[in-house]
Formats: sequence, C-alpha cells, structure tokens
Amino acid sequence: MAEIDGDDSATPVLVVRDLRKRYGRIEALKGVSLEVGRGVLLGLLGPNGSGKSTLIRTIMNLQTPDSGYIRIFGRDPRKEHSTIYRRVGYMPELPNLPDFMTGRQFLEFVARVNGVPSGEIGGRVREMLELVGLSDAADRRIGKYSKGMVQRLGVAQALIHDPDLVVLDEPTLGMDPEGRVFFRELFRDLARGGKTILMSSHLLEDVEKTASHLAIIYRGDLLFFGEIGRALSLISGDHVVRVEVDGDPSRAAEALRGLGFVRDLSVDGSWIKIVVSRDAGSGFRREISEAIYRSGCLILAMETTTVDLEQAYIKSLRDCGDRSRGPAT
Amino acid sequence: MSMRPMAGGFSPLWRIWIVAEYEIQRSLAKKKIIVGIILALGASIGSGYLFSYAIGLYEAGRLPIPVDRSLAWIFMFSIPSFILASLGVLLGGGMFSEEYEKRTAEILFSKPPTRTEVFVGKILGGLMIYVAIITITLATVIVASHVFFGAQSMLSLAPTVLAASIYGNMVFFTMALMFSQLTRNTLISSVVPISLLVIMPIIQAVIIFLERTTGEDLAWIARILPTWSSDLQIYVIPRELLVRSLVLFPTTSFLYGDPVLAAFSATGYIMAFVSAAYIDIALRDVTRG
Repeated sequence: MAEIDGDDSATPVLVVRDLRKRYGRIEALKGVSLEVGRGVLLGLLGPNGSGKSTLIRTIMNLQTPDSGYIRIFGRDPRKEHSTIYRRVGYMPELPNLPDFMTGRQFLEFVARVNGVPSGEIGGRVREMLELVGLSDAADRRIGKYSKGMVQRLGVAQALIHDPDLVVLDEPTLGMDPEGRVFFRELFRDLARGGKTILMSSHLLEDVEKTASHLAIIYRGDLLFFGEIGRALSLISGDHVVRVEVDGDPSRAAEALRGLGFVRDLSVDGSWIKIVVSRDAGSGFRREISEAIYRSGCLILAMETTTVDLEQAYIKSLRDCGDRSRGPAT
Repeated sequence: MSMRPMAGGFSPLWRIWIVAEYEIQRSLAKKKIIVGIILALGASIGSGYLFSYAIGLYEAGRLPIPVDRSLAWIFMFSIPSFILASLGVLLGGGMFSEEYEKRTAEILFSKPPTRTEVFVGKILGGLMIYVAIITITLATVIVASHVFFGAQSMLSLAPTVLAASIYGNMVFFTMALMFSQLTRNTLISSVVPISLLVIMPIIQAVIIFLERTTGEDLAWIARILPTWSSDLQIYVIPRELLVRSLVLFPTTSFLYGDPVLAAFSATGYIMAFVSAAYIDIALRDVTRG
C-alpha cells in the first residue's frame, strides 16, 4: 500500500484499505488502498466513471463498501459517524443546496448541525460569506444563485466548522478563472495550516498547481499514489522545454523535429513546446538552441521543466493499456 | 480563517432537533402545503354553510334526521378530513424523495447527524407541522361554529377527537413517507397513498354492500384496510352524536367499532411503514455511482 506521511501526525487522518465496491456487473472500486497524513493536499485524478466519486462518497459514508474499510482520524466512521464527520467538511460535485434557504440560513444550519457554539455562529457565517465573496447575496434564496455562487457557497459550508479533513469533489467546477485561482490559493493555505484536503478534479491544472500529493484512479484501480514530484519522475523522466522564438516558429519547429531526442512538439503562437526524451544527454538545451538559430529564429526565452502533470496523467492511463479513452478534460 | 476550538451542545437530541427545524422550514416553503392548509381551513369554514343549509331543511321538515346546531363543530371538522389526510400524504410523500430528487441528500447525510437522527428529525419536523395544521383546523372550526351556530356542546370531546385525528392520519402520513424513502420518487409516494385514500372507502362500501346482501361476514376485510384505522377520529365520537351532527359516512358508520381496536390497527400500520422506511434508509446507499 502506498503511503503519505504528513508533517507530524502519528495517526493518519485518512486510511482507505482494500476498498471494493460493485454496482451490478461494474466494479467501481477494485481494492483501493491509501493513507493520508496531516497537512496533505491530495489531488484525486481520473476520467469520468473512473471511481473518484465512489471513493469520495464511500469516505463520506454515503455509500457502503462491499469489502475493505475506512478509518478517519483512526476511527471507524460507520460506528462513530457524528464524532468523525463533525471534523470533516465535504463538498459534493456541483452541489445541490437547499434552494428554500438563503445563503446565510444555510450556513447557519450547517454550523449548528456541526456543533459550532451558538455565540460563534453569526461571526463564523459572516466570515465565510466574506471569504467566498457572497456577503451581498447572503439573504437571497439559494434558488436564485448562479452556478458559480452555489459552488462558492458549497466551499463555505465545507469550511464553516473549521474541519480537520476537507473533502472536495470538483470544487472549482463552474467557477470563473479568477475564482479558481482564489480557491486554489485558499486550499493551499488551509493545507499549510495543517488541514488535510482531498480534492478530486478533472482540471489537471488545478491539481498540478494546488496539490502536494497525487492519486490517479482509473476504472476502479489506483494507478498511482504519492507526492506530485515523485509521480512525475516515476511516471516519466521526460523533460519539457518551452522556447519563445522571434521569427517563424514553424520553421524552428521543423528544424527541431530533426533532433533525435525530441519525442513531441507543439507550437502555440511564438512559443514552442518540446518534449525531450529522458534518454537525451545533458546537452539537449544547447542542441535545441543551435537548431533554432539554424532555422533563422532568435530565442527570446527558454524554460525547462520535467514532464507536466497532464502528460504524466495521460501516460499513466496509456500504460494501463487502454488507449481508446483519453483523460477527462 | 480562524482555528477556534469548538464546544457547545452536540447531543443526538440536539442534532435531531436541528434536522426537525430544517424539515419544518423545508415543508413550509412548499406552495402545495400552503395551498393545502388554506384549503383545509376554507373547507372547514365553508362546511358551515352546508350545515346551515341542512338546519334550514330540518326546520322546514324536509330532512328526517334531527340536526343539532350545537354539534356543528363535529360536522365542520369532519368535512375537511380528506384534505387533512391528503396534506399528511403531501408532507410525508416529499420528506425523503425530494432530498434525493433535488440531490440535497448528499449534503444532508454527510453532516454529523446519523441516518437515524436524520430519519427521526425529519419525521419529527413533518409531524410537528402536521399536528399544528390539524390543531389549527380544529381550533378554527370550534371558533367558527360558535360564531355561526352559537354555543357548542360536547366540547369536552375535542381533545380526544384531536388526538384521534392526529393518530389516525398518521397511517397515511407514514405510508407516504415509506413510499418516499423506498421509491425516492415524490410523484409515486404522493399519488399512491392519495389513490388508496380514494379507492379504499369505495372497496369498503362494496364489501359492506356484499355483506348485507349475502349475509356473509365480510366486514373483517374492510377492517384490515388502512382507511378503517385512519378514520379513528370518527370512532371516538358516540354514534348518536355523529348522527345528530350529520356526519354520515355509510361505510364507517356500518364499520363503527371499537376505537381501541382501530388504534391498534393504526399502530400496526404506522410501525410497519416506519420500519420499512427506516430499514431502507439505514441500509441503502444515499447515492449511487
């Protein structure tokens, strides 16, 4: 079983062991095991129907596994539901919130049901409304909210009781780019503050820019589980070189294709993205520069990174033997 | 964000109460419930005109049954009984299914209240509204009958009638909430019990007719139908008062029997319906896929 160690916690926040779940003939989870420590922001990736939501809902005690078990804070959530879920915040995918309540009423309800002391509820609700930018719409019925506003309120209700574990299913879905950046930063801050966050997303960028750890699930199997950096280096040792050129980028691209270590190449405006094989020697940057100069272009900027998450993700799925299905985007 | 420690009340009873409050707010936000309440009150007051017309007929010698104007409240409370029963069905019928249909169940069941607490809290909330509606209807009837027909008699029976009405109506309320959880479909869980409310008295009437024409003992069949026990409020009123207040229910008047037996029958139905719903909510996945 793969393992993630948090900063200093002896008891893992979340343990999932050999979890199996079947819907008729479909095996939604095929013995998933993982262990998550404190302060970890785990990004859960997988295409639609891969088992992400089943895993999350089983963790949230909304579904019962056929076999295997879950421990949250070292306890069995099926036996100690109230004690455990008081310390857990959950936001489902595209949350449907009670449309007969106003945003404020709903947050008050969630705060009360989570045992927040009555003297603190008003302040906590105001704080959350302000945090997610819904102060002006606080007394409007949720039924009148836009999709993005419901999403924001969904995040607020997951955080209002200051939980130790936050489970978010596609939290930035339907948000504008500004909102996505804001919430990514917020989740990172929460993890830095010691909270454990499990966040599923089909937006690879969200996971790449937010998560400290990665789990890739596909057809009920956990394909990868570990730190993002380790994920990338294990899944592929390839490098990605991005070059901004002054001149005709298509000519530069043509010249680059002649280099033996170039595995893939794409042009986006004046930028050229080159995937370099892990077998390339240390001089690949020099060879790239020379090829570009030979094509009559000038190099304005050059960045080298290891392979990005999207490529790692695609590769892990391909390695799984199914080339017919691409990643969820 | 602050990291303040939490304290304060967090007992199962507290959680049940919060869910009950949620259910009350949810139910009162539904237009069909508000319309039902208005209809029930309107029917009770409107029945006063019917009773007044019957008195006129009696005084003109065109009605052979003696009508007692001091028992108007019994008549006026009996008229909206179908509406009250239907209101119970509407309250129970949407109780769980609407949470699944609107996908709010995922939020509700992921919070600290256990499934048992959510189950009890929602029933408690729905029941509190239902009891309030029936009580307000009876209170309105008593006031209106005083206003229209003068001083009313036998009001000492009112608390028993109220309790019997609430308990009897719980048969269809719990039947609806059972369907609501089992089918997770509001339309089915409302239409099926209301259809039974309409059809079963007809079946009872047919059975009684057959019994009277064939001479065979068939009343027991009518007595095992849930509509028999749900008419409990009728059985706690002495038969002669029912006649003098013009509460003429051909089937139930023939089936008029032991209110204790009816209460037992109602208890059996209520327990069966609630148990079926509870087992389903406890064992079945809240979401699928």
